[in-house]
Amino acid sequence: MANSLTTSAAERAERYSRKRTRILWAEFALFVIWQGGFVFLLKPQAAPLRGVDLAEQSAWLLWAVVLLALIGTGGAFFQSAEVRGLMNDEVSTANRHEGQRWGFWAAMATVVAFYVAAWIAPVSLTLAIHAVLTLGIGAALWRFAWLERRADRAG
Amino acid sequence: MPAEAQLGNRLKAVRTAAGLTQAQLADLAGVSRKTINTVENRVFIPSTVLALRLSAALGTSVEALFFLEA
Repeated sequence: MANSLTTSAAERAERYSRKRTRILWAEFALFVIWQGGFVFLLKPQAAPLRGVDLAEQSAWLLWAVVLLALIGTGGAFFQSAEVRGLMNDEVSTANRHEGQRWGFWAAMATVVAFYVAAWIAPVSLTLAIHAVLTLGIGAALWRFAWLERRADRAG
Repeated sequence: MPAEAQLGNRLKAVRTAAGLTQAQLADLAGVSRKTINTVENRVFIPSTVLALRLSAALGTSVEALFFLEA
């Protein structure tokens, strides 16, 4: 039977897929810890923002956008189409979609919680946005990483 | 069809009978080894397209690889 893929592409896809799983775990932990720190150490901010605050908030927003791109596409942006296709094949795509589903419901649950909380006390818009992003992205990353690890270890 | 019917498969038996490793079958079917692993261990239910690709790679029919369990 003819080999339909170059061995190097299959090996690279396997290696990068495992690496991606490790990155997902690391990003999940770092993002949640970082955002948790922001939420618990939230201080009133003067408007307009100081330069240092603007830089800090721009950095986490960029980070969140990169993670959303990872959750939305599966990443591997700098790999060949062949390797990227193998890394994002049927199982990984299903795992990523399940992660997206978890992220969606985590974000919606957070929105509902903040909506109810606003009946009792004023809620900071910045705090609410941070919480929605943290829990939405965090849940999606965690579920995607967990399913990928299970797929790697199955059997 | 009973609602609790599940998809069983003979993928591992057919693959090993053909003398193929998971990685070799993955190459032939154009998927990752992880996909072969999860289908064999019933962690993942393959799509019709993937089932057809696996059966073609192994030179057998879909029905020989997959079946419904009560």
